[in-house]
Amino acid sequence: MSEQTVKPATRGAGSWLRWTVAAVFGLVYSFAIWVAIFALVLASQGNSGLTPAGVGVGLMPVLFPVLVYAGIVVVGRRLWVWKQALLFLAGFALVGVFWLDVVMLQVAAQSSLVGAG
Amino acid sequence: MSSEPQGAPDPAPEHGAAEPTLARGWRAVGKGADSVHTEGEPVTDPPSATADDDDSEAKSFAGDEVVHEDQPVEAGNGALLGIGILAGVYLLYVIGWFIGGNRLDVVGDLLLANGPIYTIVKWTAIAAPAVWFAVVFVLTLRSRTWVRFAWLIVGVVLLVPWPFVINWESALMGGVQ
Repeated sequence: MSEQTVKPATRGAGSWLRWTVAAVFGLVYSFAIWVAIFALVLASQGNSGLTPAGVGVGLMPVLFPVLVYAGIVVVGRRLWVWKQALLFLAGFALVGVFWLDVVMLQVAAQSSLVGAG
Repeated sequence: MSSEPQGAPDPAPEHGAAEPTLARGWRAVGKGADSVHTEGEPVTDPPSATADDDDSEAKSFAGDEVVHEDQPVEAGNGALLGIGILAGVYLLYVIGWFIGGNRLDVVGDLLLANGPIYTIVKWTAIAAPAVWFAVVFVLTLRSRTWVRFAWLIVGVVLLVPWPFVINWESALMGGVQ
């Protein structure tokens, strides 16, 4: 997650802007991570608990925002800051979509993800 | 030079010197396409697009080739049609996420104890196709057409509204899935 602010590609506005954008979106992404962890903990505390597969599926929306964020930090380093901000935005949209997909998967395959009581 | 062109079709006589031109919005492909000039576009010397060195950004977005840094690429008729179709798909996706997301309300509330968090995530997903489309559109303004299409198609693949498409509710009802 470290940024190389020395790169000449950090053009225009100084690197402080880049850091600010990364920090703000970091908060947003960590919100998504927190939601996923919260849901996972809640599900595992249910009366029947989770199977290993259930834990794996529950971990996916925890890891996904991290991957997206890291990817955009790396790729967007060479872009203008506002373009990187747009990437962060689209990435977060993807995170939301992915999260709902996983929720649906958890419902559809609950028989194999939730412990058998 | 001195001899007149014989037989064969003579290319664009009024421009002389065998320099064919294309109407604005069209683009020549294939053999010898480099010598075809499109009206209204600055003449480019094909391979040496590296004139501006500081443009590390130019190649960054998926390694696309940037045409002109200062001018948005003019879209041809086919490209416009394609963009229109894709925009329609994205619109359907928004509707699909709206319906599918609302269907998941029960489950979302169950997974997250209650309330506002699920609503936030849901609306993120509903807005996602529109956001993706807009972001791709803006970021590929100066890229080649196929790059824009590639990213739009990636979005079509990634943003499928599965909760709308799949009949997951049968599992919820306790039946076979």
